[in-house]
Amino acid sequence: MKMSGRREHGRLIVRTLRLLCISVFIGRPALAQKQFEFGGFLDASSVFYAKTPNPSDAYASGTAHFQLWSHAKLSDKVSWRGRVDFSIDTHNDVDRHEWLDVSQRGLRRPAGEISEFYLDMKLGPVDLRAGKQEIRWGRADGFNPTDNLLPYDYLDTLADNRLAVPAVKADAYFGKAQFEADWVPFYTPTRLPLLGQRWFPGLPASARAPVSPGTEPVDVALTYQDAGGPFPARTFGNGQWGMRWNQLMPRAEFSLSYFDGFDDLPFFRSSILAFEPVPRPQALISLSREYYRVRVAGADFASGIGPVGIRGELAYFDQTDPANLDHLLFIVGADRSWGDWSVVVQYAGQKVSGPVPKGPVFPDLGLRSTMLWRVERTLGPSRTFEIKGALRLLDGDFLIQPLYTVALANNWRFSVGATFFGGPEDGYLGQFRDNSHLTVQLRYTF
Amino acid sequence: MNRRLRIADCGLQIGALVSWWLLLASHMVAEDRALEIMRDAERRALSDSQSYDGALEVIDAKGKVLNKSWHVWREGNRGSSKTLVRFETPPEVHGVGLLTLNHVKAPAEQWLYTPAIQRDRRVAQQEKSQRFMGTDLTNEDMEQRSIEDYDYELIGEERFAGQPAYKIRAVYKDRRNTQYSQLYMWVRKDIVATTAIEFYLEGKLRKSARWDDWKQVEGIWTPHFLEIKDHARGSLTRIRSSNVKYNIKFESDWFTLRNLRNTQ
Repeated sequence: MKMSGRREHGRLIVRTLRLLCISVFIGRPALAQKQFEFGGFLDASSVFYAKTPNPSDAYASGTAHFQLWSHAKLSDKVSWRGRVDFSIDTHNDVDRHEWLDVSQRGLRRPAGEISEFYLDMKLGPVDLRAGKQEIRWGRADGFNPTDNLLPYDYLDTLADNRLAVPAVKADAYFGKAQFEADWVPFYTPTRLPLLGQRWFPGLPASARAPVSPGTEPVDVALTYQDAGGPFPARTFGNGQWGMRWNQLMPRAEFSLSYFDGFDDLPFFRSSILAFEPVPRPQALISLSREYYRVRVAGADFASGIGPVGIRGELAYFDQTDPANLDHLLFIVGADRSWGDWSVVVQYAGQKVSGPVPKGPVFPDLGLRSTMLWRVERTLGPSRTFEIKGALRLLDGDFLIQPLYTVALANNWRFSVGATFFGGPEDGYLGQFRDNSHLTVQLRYTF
Repeated sequence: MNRRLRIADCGLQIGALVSWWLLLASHMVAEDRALEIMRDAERRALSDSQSYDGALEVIDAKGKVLNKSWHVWREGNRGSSKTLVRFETPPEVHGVGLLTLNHVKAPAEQWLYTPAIQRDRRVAQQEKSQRFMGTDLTNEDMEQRSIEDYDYELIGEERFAGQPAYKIRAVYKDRRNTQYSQLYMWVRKDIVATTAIEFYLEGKLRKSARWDDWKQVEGIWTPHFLEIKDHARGSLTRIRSSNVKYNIKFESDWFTLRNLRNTQ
């Protein structure tokens, strides 16, 4: 009797699962609809620097990157997508011991990672996406203050490399309006440049301090150590969420958004790990990372006035870390294209509730009163040339990036570019003036 | 004497007036006839919707060939239509899509979706003159316009590619909303279909297009080959279409941003 009951229970479960499968994979038979496709690229790039500001820096570095993605359409309403990335480099930004990373919490880029893995479901007016995915917000060009659900990979500081996060995303469509709700259960931090290497923001090399109580302050040489820090626990309460209202109007569109989660950047707490007063006073400073919540309210818009497209974006950050630097970031710009030319000019600014401290400053607080521009010229069906630039108006430091790209054949692309930093050393861009470099890249896409 | 002169002068004036009226009338007749031909061409090609697969060859001034392919879906016609273009190859642009909503007597709205960064971008009105995805087509060429948006004039009859054709001059009425100052079109007399267009920019030939490989699909004469030459750049784009279908029933959200973002 007991056995029979269990069997009945098992049958009920199987029947329920079958019904669930039928309801999810509704439509024509799944196998008949199954489509599978895959693609990817193999990319080799080299960077040549003129200077080595740190002892561990090199004049040249090379990276190889292989990406493979696949997509399967399981039914009319359900599909799946996955992506893996493999990297290897000459300068140890890549952790060669990590070949199947999913969580993306390491200080270095893993040699192998499952970078996307999600299921898409179409449920009436709602699109549901569950799994590791990229969620991007914002309408400005290149710099998006409202785009806070995805952490960055700043190991390649100037590239817009993002890290996918585990999330559930629901998009509901009502006529010309779209409502998006996102839940990110586990925290993924932004991957920062490595301490002591060229792209880590400038830290003071010395400080004046007394070597013993009651003595005159003297110059103390400072060295630093990254002590890491615990990530937010994987609890329900530590989940992050966001929502966004998108509205289309005649000749314009805008969105309002709200994000409540952890800051993708850590708060660095410094402490003296070791101090040697003789022969020359020096201290080893430990930088430990702490993660605090942030709330961000944002808005963006895109429209056109006559022949000029205009875009804008702003976000207010309510910080909860000890520095408590609440701030407003905004960007507004115009774009115009004619013939083979395309020009984008934008102005980015910030209002911070207190003085920005000296120490690691990342792009979130680095674009005070900055002009950004991008000029692109199409030279033919297979060649383009662009110049991107940024000029911080109050500090005078700047960045200029020319890039020439040519399609060598259908699947081959070659590009050569340069990056020049200039201006005062204490500016956000000027601090990297020893990092001006030349880049050569060859990519095969399949 | 004065009276004779006055009569002669009066006769000349009447003659000039009559010839002016005749010229105007013939011009109006030419305009009416051209519009009639274009309406006939449009009526014959009219369908509620269409889809096809395109294989593109883009040849630059040095003769280098790049291949691309896309799927095109269209619903509506006569200037009030919706079009979705989705790139299949090269792999680098796989999934890139352009959604165009054409409005009668209003500028079209366009959005470009780039799957690599998962963003759709409203394409501003001025970007119509920009190349469409590295081809010799521009964003404006991808729009579908109404016959009534142009003023026409029948220039005459000429043979084009061995076929007798009407030569028609067309000028877009809303000059601010186009990059071309005028077009010269050749409309085949036998099947009444546009077989070639020359695009002029301030009097200079900027681009030319010709359609070929005509086949009847569901009763509509359909070109399966298009060649566009950019005379300023010296580049060429050839499009061979296949799997052409007309009057398809699309899902209600096919031509929306929701579907543009859905590359699955």
